[in-house]
Amino acid sequence: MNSANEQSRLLRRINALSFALVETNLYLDGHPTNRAALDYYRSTYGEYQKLKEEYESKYAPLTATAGESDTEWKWVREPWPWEIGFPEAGAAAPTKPLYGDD
Amino acid sequence: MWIYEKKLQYPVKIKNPNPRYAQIIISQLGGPDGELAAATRYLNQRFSMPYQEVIGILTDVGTEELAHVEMIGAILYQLTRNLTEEEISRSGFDKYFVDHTTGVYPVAAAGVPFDAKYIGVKGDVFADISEDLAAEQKARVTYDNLLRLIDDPDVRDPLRFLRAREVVHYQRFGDALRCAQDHADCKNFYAYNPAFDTPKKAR
Repeated sequence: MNSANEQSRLLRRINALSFALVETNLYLDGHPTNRAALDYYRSTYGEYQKLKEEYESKYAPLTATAGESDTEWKWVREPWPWEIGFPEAGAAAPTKPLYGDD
Repeated sequence: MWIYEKKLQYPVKIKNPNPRYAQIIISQLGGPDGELAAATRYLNQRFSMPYQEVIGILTDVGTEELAHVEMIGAILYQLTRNLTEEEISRSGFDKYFVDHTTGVYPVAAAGVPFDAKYIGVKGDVFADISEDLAAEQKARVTYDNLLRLIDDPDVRDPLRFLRAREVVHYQRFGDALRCAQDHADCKNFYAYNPAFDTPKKAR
């Protein structure tokens, strides 16, 4: 798999995880003591953080706070999400189901 | 996409409610040079902007403006809490109150509702950056005018912070203008519109 595909695959996975976090966040706002949702949020957030760190160290910052480097401010050195050339987040299928097997 | 931080960019702690102040400060929410107009203007101008550095400035200033929308909302909330009906009538706040109670609704000081006419998106690099420079100056003047009319130090403190941010943003849009000029035809800056006439390329 070439590097562009690898980047897209990782970004798609991060996108899926961050969407799962948004959904769980909204649900928890109305159900702040739901055990299953709390557990799901914690494990998803852990995986999200791990992959976000991997993406930012290998490819490009996702938030400005990850934009620093020794030589330049990478925040303005990579394409913006609406530009042609931004990695296709939809290029590859996720490697495992998002919501478990049930 | 965006992520919310559960804090104000600069603290707002107003001891004494004052509906008269709220009626003029609300222009920095829903008025022609307010924070809502600023955020909408910059975040929308990004899409036709061809230069990475300028897109970065528009994104990050636009995002900060959203935090300023929240600060103005916090000021309005604190200035209009625990009001008696008599205070509402006596202060002239009754004309807002009758439609919105003490909810925070974006209008200008004279009561005109927020309007997209307050923002410019021309799709031209120099026109848009010039609009932004002017917008920051106009917002700075509005804060200056508010500071002429407001004595309470609790209210003045966050307003002075916000005024200082207008000055800084003006300087950053000055950087944006310089960046765009560096890309322009040195014989004629306006020979073509880089946002439309040339293919986009990431530098």
